[in-house]
Amino acid sequence: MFKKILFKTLFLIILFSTNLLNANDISTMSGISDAAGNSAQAAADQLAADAGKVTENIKGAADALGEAKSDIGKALDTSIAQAESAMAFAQESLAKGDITSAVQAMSMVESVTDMALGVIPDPTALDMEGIDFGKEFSPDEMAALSSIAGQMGAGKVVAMQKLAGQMSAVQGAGFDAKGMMGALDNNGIGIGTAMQGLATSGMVDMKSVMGTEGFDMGAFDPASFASMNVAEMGMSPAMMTGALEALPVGAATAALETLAANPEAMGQMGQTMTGAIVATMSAKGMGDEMMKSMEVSIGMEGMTGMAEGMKGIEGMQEIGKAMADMGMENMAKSLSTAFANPEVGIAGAMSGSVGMISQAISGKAPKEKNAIAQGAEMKDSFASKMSEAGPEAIEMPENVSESGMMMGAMIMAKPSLAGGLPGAMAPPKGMTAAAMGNVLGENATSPEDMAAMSGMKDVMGDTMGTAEMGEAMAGMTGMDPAAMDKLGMADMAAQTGLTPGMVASMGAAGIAGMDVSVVMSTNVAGLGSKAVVGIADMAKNGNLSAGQMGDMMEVGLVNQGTMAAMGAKGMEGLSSAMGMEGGDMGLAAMSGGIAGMGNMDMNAEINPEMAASMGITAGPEGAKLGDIMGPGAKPEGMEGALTDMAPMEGGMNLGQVSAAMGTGIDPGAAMGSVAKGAMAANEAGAGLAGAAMGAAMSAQGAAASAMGSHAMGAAMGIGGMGEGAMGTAMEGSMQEGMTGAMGGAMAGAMAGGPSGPGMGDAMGAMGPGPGDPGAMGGLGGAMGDPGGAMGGAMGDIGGAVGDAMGPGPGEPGPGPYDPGNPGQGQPGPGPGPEPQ
Amino acid sequence: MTKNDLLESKFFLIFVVKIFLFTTLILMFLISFSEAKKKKEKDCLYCNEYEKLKDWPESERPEAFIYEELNYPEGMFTKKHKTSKKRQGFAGKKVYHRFVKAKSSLNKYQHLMIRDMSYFEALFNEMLNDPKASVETLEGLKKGREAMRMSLQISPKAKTSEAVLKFWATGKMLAIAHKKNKKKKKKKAKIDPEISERAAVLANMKKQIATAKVNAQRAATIEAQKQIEVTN
Repeated sequence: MFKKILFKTLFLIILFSTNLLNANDISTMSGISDAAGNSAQAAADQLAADAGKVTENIKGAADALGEAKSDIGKALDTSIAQAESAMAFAQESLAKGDITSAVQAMSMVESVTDMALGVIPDPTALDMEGIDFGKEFSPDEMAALSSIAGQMGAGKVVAMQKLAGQMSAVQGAGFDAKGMMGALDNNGIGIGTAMQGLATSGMVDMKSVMGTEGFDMGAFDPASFASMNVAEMGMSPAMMTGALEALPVGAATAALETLAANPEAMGQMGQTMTGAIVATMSAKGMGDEMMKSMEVSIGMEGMTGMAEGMKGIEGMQEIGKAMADMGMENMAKSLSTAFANPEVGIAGAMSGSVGMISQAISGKAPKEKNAIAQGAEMKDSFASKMSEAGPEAIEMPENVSESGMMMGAMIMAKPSLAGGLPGAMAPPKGMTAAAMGNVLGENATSPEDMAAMSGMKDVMGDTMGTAEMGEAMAGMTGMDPAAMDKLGMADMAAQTGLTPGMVASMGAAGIAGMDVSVVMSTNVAGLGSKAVVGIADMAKNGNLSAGQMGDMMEVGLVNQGTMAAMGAKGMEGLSSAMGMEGGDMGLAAMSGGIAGMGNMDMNAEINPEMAASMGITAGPEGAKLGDIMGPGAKPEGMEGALTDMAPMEGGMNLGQVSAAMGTGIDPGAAMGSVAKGAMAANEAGAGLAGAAMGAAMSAQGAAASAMGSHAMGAAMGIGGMGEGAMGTAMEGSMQEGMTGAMGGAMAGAMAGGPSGPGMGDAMGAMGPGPGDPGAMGGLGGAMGDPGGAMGGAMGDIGGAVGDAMGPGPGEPGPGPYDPGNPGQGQPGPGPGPEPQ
Repeated sequence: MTKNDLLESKFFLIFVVKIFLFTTLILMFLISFSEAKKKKEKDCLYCNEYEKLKDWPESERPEAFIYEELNYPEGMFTKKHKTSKKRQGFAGKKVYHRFVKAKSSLNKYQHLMIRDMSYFEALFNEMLNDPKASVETLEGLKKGREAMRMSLQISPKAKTSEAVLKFWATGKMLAIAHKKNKKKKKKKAKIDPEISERAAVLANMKKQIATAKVNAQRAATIEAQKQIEVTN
C-alpha cells in the first residue's frame, strides 16, 4: 500500500514538474478532445517537417558561403549561425510537443533577420549622414523633423518590443536568447545595439527601460520592456508627439495615465508634453465631451483646455521653444542619430514611403537595386537555389469550412501570441509579454496557467466563459452545438482568452500569411488604457452619447476588443446611431462586427450628432449613407439613384470603418471601401470567412499605418487559399483590402521594409490596381489608392495651374517654367545637371 | 421573281442595313455618353452640387476645404508674392514643373520632390481662397494631396500649416544630405558581393520560416476540418 502511494506521488511529481519545464501543446489540446489533439499534432508534424528543411538550408548556406571578410559580412554570418541554433531549439521543442516555443523561436529568427538586413547599406535609401541640425535648422523645423522621426520610428520601437517578447518566451522555455543577442551585439546587430540607437535618438530612455544609464544584457528584462507604453519607456517629448500620431489613440491615453501617475517623468517639459499628447488625441478627432469623460480614469483635470495652442504647427512651435530652452545641442544630436543611424530604422522607413510616391508619380522604378535583389541575381549563388529545397506553401482544399478555420486558429493562438502584444499599442494587460510569462515554461505557475492565456479576461470579466464562447461560435458558423461540444471547440476558445471574432480574424490572417500578433495588436489596441475601458463601459451601460460614439468611430476606437467590451447594449446603441436595423447585437459584440450587424439601408439616416462628430457634413435631408459614400466612393453595383439601392444585407462592419477612419481616412471613403469588400465577399458566397478576412485586412491596414514595414508578414500574399467558396471569398476580401482605402498605407509599409522575396510576392499577388492609374501604376495593385489618387491629381494640375495663372479652365497650364527662379534666393540650374 | 422585285428587295436590304447602322451609331453614342457621365460622376462628390468655390458656402464645407491663413516658411515665397493669387500662381508653377514636366526625374531628385510637395500644399490652400476655383479641380487635388502626404505619413486631417512645415523641413534636410553624399552614393551603389549574397540568403530564410508558420496553421485547419467531418 505504502509503495503504491509512494509510486503514485512520485509519478505525479514527475509529471507535474515536466509540465512546468516544457509546455506540451499537443497533450494540452488532447486533454480537451481527440479532435483538438489530432489537429495540434498535424500542426506540429508540418512545422517539424518544414523546420527541418529550413535548418538544412541554413546549414547549406553556412557551408557554401564560407567565412566573410568584411565587418558587415561577418555580422551577417553571425546572424545565420544564430538562426541555425534557434532553429535547432525549435526542432527540439517540436519533438516534445511544444509548438509554442518552436513558433516563438522561429519568429525571433525572423525579427533578428530584419535587424541584420537593416544594417546593410542600401543604395536605394536616402542617406542623411553628416547633417549639422543645430546649425542648419530653426527650432520649429527641428520640432517638425522630430515629429516625423517619431512617426517613422514608432514602427521600430514596436518591432523591438515584439523581439523582446519573443526573447522572453523562448528564454522561459530554456533557450539562451540573451546569449544569442549578446553574440549579435558583438557584431553590431543585436537588440542592445538597436536599443542604444533608439536611446540616443530619444525614442526610448535607457534609464526608464533598464534602470541604469547603459544597456546591460544580463540585467535586461525583455518582458518588462515589451509591455511598456511610450511614456513608460521614456520616449522624448518631441519624438512622442510624432509617435502618437502614428500609434492608435489608446497609446496616447495610456501615456497620459502614466504621466498623471508620475508627473516628474517628463521633467521641465511636463506641461508642454501633456498638452502635446492631448493635442494628438484632438487631431485624431476626439471631441471635448469624450475627453471630459476620460479625465477621471486618466487622473488629469482640464484636458480639453490642454490642447489649446498645441495643435498642428502651434504645437510644433511650442515644443521647439521648450527644446530650445533645454539646449538645442541635445536635440540636434538626437535628430542626427535618428535620421542617420540605420539601427533606428527611420531612414529606411522614410526611403520606402518617399520612394513609393516618387515611383508612383514618375511611373518609373529606380535604377539601383538593394542588396537582396543584387544577391538574388548573382549567378550560381546559394540564395537562388534555396527556394527549391525550402518548404512550399500547402494548398488549402476546397472543403474547408469556417469552423475548421476557427479551430485551426485556436490551435495556433497560444503559439502565435505567447510573445505578447507590444505595449506601445496599449493592449489589455493580459495580452502583454509580462502576462504571457505566466503561461510559459519555467514561469508557469500551474499546468492550468500554462494551458490558458488570460487574454481579454481582465477586460471582459466572467462574460467569456465556455458557454458564451460556444453560443457565439454557433451563431457565427451555424454549427450544431452538440458537435461543437464533442470537438471541444468552446473549451478551446475559452482557453485562448480571445473572443470568437478575434479567433476568426486570426484564422483568416494566419492562413493568408499575415503576422497574427500584428493583426491582434490593432484588434485590441487601447484596452490597456483605463480611459478606453471606461468609455467601453459607458457604452455597455447605455451611457455613451451619440456624439461620443461618433468620436469613437473617428479616432479608430471601435475595434474587436472594444466592441466585445461594449457588449450587446453598447453595440445596439452604436449600430442604431449609424442607421442600421435588426441583427443580433450580442453576436455582433462577440464577433467584433463580423456577424450579426443587421442591415444597412442606403437611405437610412445617421444620427445627426454622431454624423457631426464623425466629421460628416450632412445634406439638407440629413446624413444618409448613400450620400456620404457619394459617387466616388460608392461600390460598383450601387450606382444610380439612392432609391434604387437595396439595403446592404449583412450590414457593415463598423470596426473596419473605424480602423480606416482612425488612420485619417475620410468617412465616405472608409465606408465605401468596407461596403465594397463586404459585397465582394458576399458575392463569393462565404460570408463569415470573407468577413473575417475583411476584418483582418482592416487590422493589417491600421497596423501598417502605425508600425510601417514591421507590420507586414513575410508570407503575405502567399496564395493557395483554395479554390472553394471560402478560399475565393478570402482572396476577394484580401484583394479588396489591398486596393481599398487602406491599400496605400499597406503599400507604403511594404515599400519601407527590407523588401525580401515575401514583399515582392505580396505586391505582385494583389493584382492590378483599380481604375486607370495612368502613369502612376508602376507599383501595381498594392499601390491602389495613392496610384489612382495621384493619377487623378496630376490630371487636375494642368487645370488648377491654369486657373491660378489666369487662363480659363481646361487650358494645359502655365507657360514654360522659369528654371532660374531667382526670386527665391536659390541658385539657378547652374552648371550641374540638377534642377532646382 | 421579276427584275423589279429584285430591285425592290435590294433597296429594302439597303434600307434595313442603313437603319441598323444608324441605330448602332446612336446606341454607341448613347453608351459612350452615359459612360462619360458615369466617369464624371465617379471622380468627385461635392462638384455635383457646386461648380465654383463661391457657390459653396463655407459653413457647408468640410474642414479640408476651408482656407487657412498661414505664414509660410522663410524662403518659400518672396516679397513679390504678397497676395494669395500670386502665391497660388508661383506655387502652381513649381508644382507643374516638378510633378508634370520633370516627373520622370523624381526618383533621382527625391529631395526636390519632397520640398515641392510644400508648394502643392500651398497651391491647394491658396486655391481655397479663390472664389473662382473649380470644386471639381479642388476635389481632385485633395486626393493627390493625401497621396503625397503618405510619403511622410502626414495625416490627411493635418492642417496645411503643419504639412507645409514638415515637407519644407524634410526637403531641406534631404537636399543638404544629397549635396553632402553625392560622391558617396556612387560608391555605395555597388555592394560587396559577399554581403549581397548573404542578404539574399537571409531574406530567403525569413520567407521560408514565414511559410512554415503559415503551413502549420493550414495543417491544423485541414486536420480540424477532417475531425469536424468525422464528428458530423
